[in-house]
Amino acid sequence: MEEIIVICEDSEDGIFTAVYEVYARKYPLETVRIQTGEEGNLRLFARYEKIATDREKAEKVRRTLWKRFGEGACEDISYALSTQDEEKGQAVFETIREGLSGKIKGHLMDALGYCGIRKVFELSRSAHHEKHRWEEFLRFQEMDGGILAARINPKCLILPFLMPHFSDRFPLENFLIYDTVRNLAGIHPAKKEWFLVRECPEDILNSMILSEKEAELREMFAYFCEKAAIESRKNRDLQRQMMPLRFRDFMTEFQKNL
Amino acid sequence: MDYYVTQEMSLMEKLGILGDAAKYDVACTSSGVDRKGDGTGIGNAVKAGICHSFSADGRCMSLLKILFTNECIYDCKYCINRRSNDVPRASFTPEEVCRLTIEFYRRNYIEGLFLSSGILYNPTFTMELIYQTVYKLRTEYRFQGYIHIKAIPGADPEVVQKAGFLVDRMSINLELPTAEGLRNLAPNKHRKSILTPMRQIQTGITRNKEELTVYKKAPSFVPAGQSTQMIIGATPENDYQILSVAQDLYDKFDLKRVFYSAFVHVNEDKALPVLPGGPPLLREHRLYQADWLLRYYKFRADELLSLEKPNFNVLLDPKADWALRHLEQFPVEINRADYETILRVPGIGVKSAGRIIRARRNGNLGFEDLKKLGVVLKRALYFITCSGRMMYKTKLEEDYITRNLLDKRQKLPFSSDGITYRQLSLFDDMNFVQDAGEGIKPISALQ
Repeated sequence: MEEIIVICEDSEDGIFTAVYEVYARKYPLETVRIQTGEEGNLRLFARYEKIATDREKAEKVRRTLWKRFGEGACEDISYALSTQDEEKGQAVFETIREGLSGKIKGHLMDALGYCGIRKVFELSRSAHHEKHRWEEFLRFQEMDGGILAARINPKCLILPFLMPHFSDRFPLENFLIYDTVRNLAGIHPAKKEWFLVRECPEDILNSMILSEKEAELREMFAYFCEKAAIESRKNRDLQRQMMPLRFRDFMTEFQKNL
Repeated sequence: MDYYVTQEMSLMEKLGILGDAAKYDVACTSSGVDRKGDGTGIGNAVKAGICHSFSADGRCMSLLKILFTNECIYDCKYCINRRSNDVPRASFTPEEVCRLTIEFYRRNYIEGLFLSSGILYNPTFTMELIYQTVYKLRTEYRFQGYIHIKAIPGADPEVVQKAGFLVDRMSINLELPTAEGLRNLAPNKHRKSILTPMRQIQTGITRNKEELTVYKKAPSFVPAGQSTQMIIGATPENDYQILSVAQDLYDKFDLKRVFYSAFVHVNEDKALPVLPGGPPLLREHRLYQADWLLRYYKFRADELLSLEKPNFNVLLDPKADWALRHLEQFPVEINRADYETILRVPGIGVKSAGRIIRARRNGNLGFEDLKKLGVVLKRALYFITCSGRMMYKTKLEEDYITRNLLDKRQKLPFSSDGITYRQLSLFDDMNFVQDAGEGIKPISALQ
């Protein structure tokens, strides 16, 4: 049977719109593949359909998923879609397809025997791990005026998942987290709700200057870290295993220019 | 209240001295309590805990781990801060501790405060200082992050009780596994004075749980539970004794964690052992592995070790070691066995066992599925079947499995009889060996 390859935007809304269209247009579900971004290698005996993102349709899909699969599965799907994996669209589509077919007993995300569900589970797990790593290793700097600012360079789009954690933690602080890979800024004004700014130039960070006591505190922390190691137990490999080098770009205790 | 403050010293110097002095305490976890911020202060707590950095020795640094003071009236032989040592001494003020905690916390350097202390004047006075500090931090600075403090043995129970309502975790170090060891190395500490406050905190926690079921907003008492630590290798106890002590602490005192600290030689003292190979890190590692088996895998100390076999296998982890001595319970059928049985298979952990149980409701699992679920097949494959089949043709024999588990290169997919085959090549004639000086010569010439 002819394969139908649905091409959509690489975003949650984009992929959900594609899912909506697949059902609305009554494509035979087994022959559909959802692909994000470009066409890539064209396949023979396949029909290509490009689908434009429609937020309303995506919202309908989101509501259905919430109603049918519950909060846990929706969260896993969201996390899976925040990764860079090329197969994520297809994996999420297969998960939704299996879920809506009604043949799965118990929680949808527990049925790890199914390929697509397992893929979503794996992607979600890796995005969760990355989010947790950034909760650990993100470092704020205090800027003039008491604003806290942090830079991150994550592989997945985890900023939307990171903001609630820090907003709950610092309700009275003005803070900003900047994703340097995607030029995305998460902003939390004191005592207010947080929000995201897309296509935000990095200049807003560069234009701020460090507060007066910042240098001293950074030095103190670096000093504390140095003191905390026990010489006779030294194990750099273990340290690197627990805290891979890619996270250290913006970490206070690893910056040379203290 | 007045106490001696070293005024000439800068905060940086104090942090250096008192951070350095606190690093031998191993507990640095921030887990066990989930608490949202109430919006009026700073901080929250996450159930799983968050490590914020890892020091050069690979240990997690989650909390600002400092001593309030390293002045001490005691003279424990293993301790860097003992009275008879000539080390620089310093003390914080409660204000300084609070400021440091808040400033570090705001920058996401730390998850909270771990406050311990040397004994200044007497135990009650010291405990009072710790209490004052956390009181200030909780009320004045409205800090809602994680706080772990030491309860000082011998302190007035009332102060311990008051402090318990402010902190998340409390710990009292058992220091050494047996009363005899304690007598030899820590002459000022007594087993009884250590266990009394431990019991007090346990009772407090149990009572608090009952209160919380009646009235949800009752103040919580040490919600993340209590922990303790033992020094390993300073006294001659064997692993079986140590693990039995840990088991007792979990059973009788409801401890959340028992930490093991490989003895680090910081003082020259004739009562202390000399360890030329450095701290006994492998032994510590095996004890932690066994500790996990006690807490999450429902093993008992006497299943893992016995009077006849009092120490852990150096080469194999305790779970594999146990499995090899109980081959009559294997192989386990993945698609049918119950959770407890699956949990005991080497290579399957708590998470993957849970996933297996849930995933198999929707159809039988194969080896490929298990791999994706996070099972370490190269360890598990000797002990399991999927739908009645083993993964390879392996033997259920102790020697055979041991040999394969110990071999780092996985030979199995190529040879199930344990013999490795190699490709013949013109350049590595088996009858010749390489000799550094004289090039290649035949084996016969060497003999």
